[in-house]
Amino acid sequence: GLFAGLWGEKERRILILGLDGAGKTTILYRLQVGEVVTTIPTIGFNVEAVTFENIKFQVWDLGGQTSIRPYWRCYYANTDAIIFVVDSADKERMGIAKSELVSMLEEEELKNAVLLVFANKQDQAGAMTPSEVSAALGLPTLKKSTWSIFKTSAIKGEGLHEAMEWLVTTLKGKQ
Amino acid sequence: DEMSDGQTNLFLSRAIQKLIADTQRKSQFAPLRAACEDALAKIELEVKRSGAASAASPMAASSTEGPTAPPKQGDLVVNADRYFHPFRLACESKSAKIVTSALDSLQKLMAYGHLTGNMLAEVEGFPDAMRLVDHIVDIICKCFTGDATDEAVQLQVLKALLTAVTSSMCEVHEGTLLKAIRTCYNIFLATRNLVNQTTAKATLTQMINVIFQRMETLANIPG
Ligand SMILES: Nc1nc2c(ncn2[C@@H]2O[C@H](COP(=O)(O)OP(=O)(O)OP(=O)(O)O)[C@@H](O)[C@H]2O)c(=O)[nH]1
Ligand SMILES: [Mg+2]
Ligand SMILES: [Mg+2]
Ligand SMILES: [Mg+2]
Ligand SMILES: [Mg+2]
Repeated sequence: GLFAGLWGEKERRILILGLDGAGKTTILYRLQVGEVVTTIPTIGFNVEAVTFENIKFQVWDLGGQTSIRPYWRCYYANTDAIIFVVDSADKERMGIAKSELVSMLEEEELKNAVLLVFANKQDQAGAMTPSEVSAALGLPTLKKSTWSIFKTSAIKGEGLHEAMEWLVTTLKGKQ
Repeated sequence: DEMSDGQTNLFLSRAIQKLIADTQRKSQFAPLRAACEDALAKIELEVKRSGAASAASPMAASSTEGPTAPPKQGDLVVNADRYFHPFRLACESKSAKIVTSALDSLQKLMAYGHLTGNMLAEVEGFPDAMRLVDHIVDIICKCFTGDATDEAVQLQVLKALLTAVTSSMCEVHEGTLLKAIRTCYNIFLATRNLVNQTTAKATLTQMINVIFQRMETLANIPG
């Protein structure tokens, strides 16, 4: 109908955040071209248009190195969804991922943004399960009403479609 | 895929082919198209001479719609500094679509270290002793001509300048650095697009911090 048509035309802003090496850039290009690209650590930003179920997203991928994380907040304004990516096999740094996530969610500008957590690198031996990742990040205790966690493997292309479907349904529901 | 004939698997070649596709066979872009075809032929020769051609698989059928995807696993790498000319013509084409494409590819080439600009500019036909990177940044900056500049072009200018300044592989100094900063500031002031304004501010913040960090590193070197 007319309403759906108008809704579909609005471009949605997604930020992909997470620690360095979590797989953010790999995920961006998996979503955009459906292929695994060669990546280098992101210093500036990548931004690409991704269309999913006739909805246009402008997807931003920022660098996750310690020295670059302070710039994440410069990009928060007008964000519809955050995809927070963790390397599920990087157990040592779950605590750092948690504190970055917690301080991010304290920001007023992200109050209305939907949160998707990607428990990425599920193909790796010894990867934490989504429920283990969820517990380690303290997701159940977050003061965030709309969030979900997905198990993904950007290398194998698994879990990304399901996550995007959830996002589309959730954003439509928020209208 | 008819474009794959004789082509090797190279990000640079895909980026140039994207420019050809963007000209849509319009006659006003004939010089750009000729420069692209010339560059492709020279790249092909360079790859053959290096003996890498046999290792390269034919180019995968890739869509020329939308931006060029970054380098893929198994891509060959050639120094893109020698093939800057088509990108220069594309940046100067005054077609928002072509300029956007060229800037996006230039940024990816710089980020991945395929384009460093570290050679002397005269190699690419510039009549002076400046480094190529100074011309690259200058040409990127000139894509922004004021608030009437296409919004997609504005965003790609910011993205490319941030990479040029922060990449450890391109060295941007002095006057060129100031030019990059001034352009981001001008976009911040002039743009009517909220996303671009936010991005301009973020880009300026990161650039300026990087510059101060470098100054402090230099100041801490004893002697
Ligand atoms: N095994 C496995 N490796 C992955 C997966 N996703 C990404 N990687 C690899 O992890 C490494 C880092 O991936 P990137 O996408 O560059 O990581 P990033 O989060 O963008 O890193 P920064 O830009 O430094 O913040 C690359 O070698 C990827 O191929 C995955 O699902 N499984
Ligand atoms: Mg990255
Ligand atoms: Mg990009
Ligand atoms: Mg992580
Ligand atoms: Mg630099």
